[in-house]
Amino acid sequence: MSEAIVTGSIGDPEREPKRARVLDDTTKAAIAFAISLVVIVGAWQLYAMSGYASKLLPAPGAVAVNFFEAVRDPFYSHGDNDKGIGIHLLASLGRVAAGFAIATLIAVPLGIFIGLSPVASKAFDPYIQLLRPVSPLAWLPIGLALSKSSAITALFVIAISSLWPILLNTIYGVRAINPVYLNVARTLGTSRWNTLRHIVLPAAAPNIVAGLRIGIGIAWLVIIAAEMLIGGTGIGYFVWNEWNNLSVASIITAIIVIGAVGLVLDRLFGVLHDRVRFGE
Amino acid sequence: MTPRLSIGSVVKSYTAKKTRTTVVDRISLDVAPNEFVALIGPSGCGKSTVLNIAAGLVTAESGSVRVDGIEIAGPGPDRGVVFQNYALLPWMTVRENLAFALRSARELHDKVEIDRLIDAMLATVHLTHAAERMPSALSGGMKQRVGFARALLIEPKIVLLDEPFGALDALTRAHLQDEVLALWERRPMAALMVTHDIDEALLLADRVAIMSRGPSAVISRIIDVPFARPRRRADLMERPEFNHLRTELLAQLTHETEIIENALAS
Repeated sequence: MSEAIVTGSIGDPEREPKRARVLDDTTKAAIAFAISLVVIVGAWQLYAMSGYASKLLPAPGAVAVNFFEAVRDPFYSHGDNDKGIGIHLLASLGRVAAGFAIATLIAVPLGIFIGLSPVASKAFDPYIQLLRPVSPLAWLPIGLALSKSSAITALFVIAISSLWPILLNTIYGVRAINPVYLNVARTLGTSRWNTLRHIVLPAAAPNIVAGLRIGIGIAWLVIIAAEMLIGGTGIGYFVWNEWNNLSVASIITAIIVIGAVGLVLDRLFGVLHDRVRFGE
Repeated sequence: MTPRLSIGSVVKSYTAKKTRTTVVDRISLDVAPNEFVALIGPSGCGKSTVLNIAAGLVTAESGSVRVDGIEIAGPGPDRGVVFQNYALLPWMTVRENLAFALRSARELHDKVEIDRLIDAMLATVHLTHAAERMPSALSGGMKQRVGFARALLIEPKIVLLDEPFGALDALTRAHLQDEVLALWERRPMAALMVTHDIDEALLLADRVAIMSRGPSAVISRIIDVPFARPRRRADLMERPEFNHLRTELLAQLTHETEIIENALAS
């Protein structure tokens, strides 16, 4: 019965797709993206001209001019309060790199240790459960109290915020290792260190890198807020400073740059993730 | 003569939901040097548990496992294990898997020497062309060849085979069995193989130990396989003794099943 239906539909000329008019999904998505962009920018333009918005809101054209000026000469410096966006960006990236490196150096070894030891797992669990949901900015006063230095506080906040996803993913990754791999090492008489290096680390690597990817995303989110409060340099400080200058166009430029850098950081860890992945 | 491997009266039980189940109950089995012993039994009877106890991966509650008369203290490279699901490390190439075994088990560090041993072993198992491939790019049969190569490369005193052909399709299985048979007859060594395949046991083993159905599984019988070596599958199949033994073993195994079924029914 069902066979008859299938054979019937194959020969059915009305069911033949009209291939010439069908666009592939990528083209369709590109068209949808272009249309939505025009709609958003158009709405923005209309709203800016309508008089309902604050006078601070720039039109898209003004932002475009601001953006290209900022990108054309990103590294100028006219004193402490007037530096190019590139200088701020490098300062922020430097802080994120240092804070994130500290978090990684603590979270990966600790996570491997906790993942391998049921006792350590139970002992550390209360800290993890209690501290993980705390907002990054709540750590800011603690950082200042600990160090009296705003530079160190920024690193502290980055490190402690990006620590949790790296730690939790490392613990999970180690616990999820197929016990067969560990048995192979045991039957071969592999030393503890070589088991760690050649079995545990590569077996948990995809999950660890997934944690690093989430961690770098959080670090990049947090640095903006932290720099707004701490001041001095950095893209967060830049945003705050431009708000004091009432230059919303510069802030929108900064938002685009922040988004683009975040995207690049995420993709870097995506590439790393592809490299450590293995098929069973 | 001291047996190469001596399993003495091992007991293992598991506790699940507060009920204690004895899986293997005082099982003893010896493997002489250069002897191939097959341990056969219905599925779930605990034969893999016995092998894992011999490998040191599972600790018995009582009883002993001795290699050359010396009690084992956990797993070690004096016993080469071939796992049912190959257990190759998927982030290493075939060569790296074998080099890892050599470095771990024999503490070799000379790269030239390691490569020489690996190349010779790969030629033996017909895998020279696949040396630089990742395990995920190998068929099941090829993966298990690497499994055998790894167990043999470390030059163990005995190889422990946990249903080594169990995950392979029938054609690949027969082919690999023939190769393992030829390899073993060229270079005999102590081997203990767990299987549920009667033909496989009769083809490869000098003795076949039959395990009763668990719980509380014991070895109910040990049969000497009378066929002279070198054996050939086609020759064996033609011999009336082969069919006779096979029928007897099958009867023994189904008998074990019937006993338990009758016990459950009453």
